[in-house]
Amino acid sequence: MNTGRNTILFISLIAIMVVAFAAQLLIGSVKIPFEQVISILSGNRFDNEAWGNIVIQSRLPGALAALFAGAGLSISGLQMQTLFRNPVAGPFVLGISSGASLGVAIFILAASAFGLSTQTHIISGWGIIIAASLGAIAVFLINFLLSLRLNDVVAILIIGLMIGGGISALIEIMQSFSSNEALKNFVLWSFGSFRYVGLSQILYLIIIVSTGCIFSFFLSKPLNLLLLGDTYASSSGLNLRSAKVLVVLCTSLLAGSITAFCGPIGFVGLAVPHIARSIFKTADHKILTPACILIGASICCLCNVLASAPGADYVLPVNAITSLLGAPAVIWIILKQKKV
Amino acid sequence: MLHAENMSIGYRKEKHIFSDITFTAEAGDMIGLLGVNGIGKSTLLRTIAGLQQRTGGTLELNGSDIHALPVAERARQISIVLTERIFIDNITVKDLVALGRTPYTGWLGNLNDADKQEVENVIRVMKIEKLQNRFFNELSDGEKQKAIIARALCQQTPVMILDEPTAFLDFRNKRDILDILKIISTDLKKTIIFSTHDIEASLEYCNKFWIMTETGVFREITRTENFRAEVMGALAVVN
Repeated sequence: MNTGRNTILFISLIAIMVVAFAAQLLIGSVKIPFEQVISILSGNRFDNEAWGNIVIQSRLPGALAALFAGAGLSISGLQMQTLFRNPVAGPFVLGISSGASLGVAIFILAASAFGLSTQTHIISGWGIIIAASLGAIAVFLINFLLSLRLNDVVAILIIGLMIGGGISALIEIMQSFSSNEALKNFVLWSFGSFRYVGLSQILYLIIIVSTGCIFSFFLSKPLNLLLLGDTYASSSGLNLRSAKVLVVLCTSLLAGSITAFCGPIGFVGLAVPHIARSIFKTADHKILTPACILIGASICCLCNVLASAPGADYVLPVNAITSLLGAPAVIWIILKQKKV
Repeated sequence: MLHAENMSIGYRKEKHIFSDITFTAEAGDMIGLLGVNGIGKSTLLRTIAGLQQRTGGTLELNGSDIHALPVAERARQISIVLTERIFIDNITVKDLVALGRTPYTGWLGNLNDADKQEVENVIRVMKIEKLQNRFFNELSDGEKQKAIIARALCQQTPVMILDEPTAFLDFRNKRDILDILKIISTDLKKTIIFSTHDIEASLEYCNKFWIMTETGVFREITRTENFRAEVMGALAVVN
């Protein structure tokens, strides 16, 4: 396609991403002067000990989490939309977030039952991350084994949705037996937040998501073929089964790890691939994959800034912000494409 | 040379849809596959294309079993055009045609100069230069069919299989497609096998017919002086 236009678009998107990332470090509930943030980050002297803690311990890991979560969720959304040839597919169609939610629900309920902790900061520890990972892995294994047996993507999609529905029912039953405190913790977790990730945990998220991103570049060619449909893809030399297994593996790694660290972040994975396609006017995954990384990362950084509700004392749920931004974006794209 | 001997087709071993299929197809052949709806034409085409296993007999391309070929090698031998529609937003005709190079490209699917040259050649042969930068989903049915055939042609395979390539097209577009298939078979020396219900038109173009009759007999009829009468005779059994 048009290489010159694409280069300009990519440079612009990188610039937007850098600005959005920086904004997260500069803007927050506590007002810290610009030059102070710079000296804190560059390791120089700064005036206020508390400011240093806020920037290094809270804003920096949150900003990095938003950056990588946005990139990873958008790629997995793109892969699911291509695999299922369905524009409303997203990273969680395989039931990954339901699995993570179940793990977290069990953990919070058990923790409160044994009186381990009644504090809200229970939702930012390793316990939650491990519980969510185990839940996501359990559901992933079920889906993975089924996808090995079934060649029909629609069947995999329906089974994923059914597993998700069953798990939601289980969670509801558990919720009805929970204490108020446990219920509140679970609801807070399900709002999603980039702030749960601490400085000691962020490195793990970065490594996992980076691995998934690199992995997804290797899937560009199979994904481009899958756009044609199974029969054409197979007649073009694609080994359907191994290609599908690899795509499911990649998406599960990304969506599962991000949900474990940040909670279920909705809408980004669904909306960003549509935005990428409408900006670059291409179906080529070699272009859409990096485009989704940049756009998704920028949008999540922006959502994180808005969630911190600059100037106010409270924090808004990230899920509410992503949906409020994502829903109109998708509607606008559809209206524009159909030329209504 | 494509050769089948007493081949049976179907979805399960114990249940054949059609049996005793024997045929030979050479380079340069343009073969029309005739038979009523539901007789198994698509299943036969899918079987020849290696997309599903035969349930009996032999099927060989230049002496090697098609169903034993690795997927990547098969993609360099046989290309297909299906009745199944393609829905891809935001893909240009040129990019769609270029997807036909897949069996020859590396892990990222990037085209080298030879690949790009082949894409250009195919676009010229198919006479779709004016369509190449347009989006596929904005084309008419006839234009779409040309683009899809171009993708298959770009795969540079000795055998090309098309399932009802002229269905849903108007008279003019049917002729265009058949003209193109004729050029591909005679000038490029490829084997073209296509199913059709346009008997009159295909009688002019094909040098061979494969007929799946309702009595369960597979007939191969080669162009002779009595070609037309013979085909009509075999089809009379069909009707």
